[in-house]
Amino acid sequence: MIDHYLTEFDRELRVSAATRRRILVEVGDHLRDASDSRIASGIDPTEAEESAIAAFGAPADIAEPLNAQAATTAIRRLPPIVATSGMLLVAGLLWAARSHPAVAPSATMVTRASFLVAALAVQVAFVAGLRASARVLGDWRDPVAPAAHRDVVRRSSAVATVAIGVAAGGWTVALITANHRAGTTRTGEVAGATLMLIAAAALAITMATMLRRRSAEAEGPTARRSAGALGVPERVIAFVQRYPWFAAVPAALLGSAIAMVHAETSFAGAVPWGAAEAAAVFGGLWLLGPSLDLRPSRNEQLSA
Amino acid sequence: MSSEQLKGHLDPLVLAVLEGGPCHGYGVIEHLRSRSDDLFDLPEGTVYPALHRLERAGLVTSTREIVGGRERRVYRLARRGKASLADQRKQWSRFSAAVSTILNVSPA
Repeated sequence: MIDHYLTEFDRELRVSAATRRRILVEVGDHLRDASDSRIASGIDPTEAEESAIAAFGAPADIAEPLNAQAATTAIRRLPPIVATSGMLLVAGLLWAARSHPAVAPSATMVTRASFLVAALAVQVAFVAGLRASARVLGDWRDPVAPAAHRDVVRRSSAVATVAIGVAAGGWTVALITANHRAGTTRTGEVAGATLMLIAAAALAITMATMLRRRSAEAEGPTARRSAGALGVPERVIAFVQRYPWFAAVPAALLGSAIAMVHAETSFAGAVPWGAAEAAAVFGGLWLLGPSLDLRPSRNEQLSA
Repeated sequence: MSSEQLKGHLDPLVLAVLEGGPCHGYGVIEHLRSRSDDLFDLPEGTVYPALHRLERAGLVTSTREIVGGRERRVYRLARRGKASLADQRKQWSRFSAAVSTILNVSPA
């Protein structure tokens, strides 16, 4: 009977193999102790086991908070994994750029479009990665992060993963379709593009594996510890959530300035780039804001 | 007292039990039951998520040891756990004093 309970309990657990072994041994020990104690007080062995199991609680109820703890550990790994993949992506781009430094003025439309899509995607990945990191840091002192917070980290990391994939693909297409100077070797470009694609693919596989093990969304204990200095990024995001336009304007201006510098043209020539970048920042906030928990969704606004 | 009423208070209770000495999970439940005069009617299994949570927070430590001829995971109060327990005792004193005051003076 105890073995049957342990099998049921094992089925409910969404934890690592080592934690699973430890929990099952502990629970088995507990049930045998409880059963022995009842037998010692004169209860029939079968009844003693039944009583011990009933007193322990339903497998799903006991497993749920353990799953939430394991889920908290898992989501804390996501931002570093995304960041590593992002760094490999940039390293691959720089490697490729050494052999083919910039998109030539005579570049085809496909090259330009791929390059621009990739440039936007990498910014989305950066923002989504920061969002996930801020949420993880905000809950760092709590052994169990709230289910809603874990969901923000998962969604943000998923957005970052897709964006890194788009960036790797976009830059690879831009490299393939770019006009090349006669006599240049393409070894660096191939190596850089390969590194970018491997980084994106490895991230996608890792994310798919980790998100597949998603547990039931149990809440942790209600009392929460102050995040202290680690909560600063989350407080900045709370400001963005409250005043999205006011907070997005500096980001758009900064993005415009970077775009103008990158365009390396006169101020008048760079203005369209700056305007496009500013529009991308606002568009990104509008489109991805609810997924990244940077602004409330339409349904949340209506219910509020 | 149901497990719902105990929600949020289980962690300091477990720390208080471990203050009396190292203990395994089943022992923690027995202490909670006996020290509350059987008032705390919570599923015994709920103590394990609490113990694991406290261990992750660095408030308790655990080792596998032989207890009563059987190998068991034994939990100990860590230094940070002692400080946390003292802090939670102060918070509870203030909270319970405030609740008692209100319950005594407010009309039903």
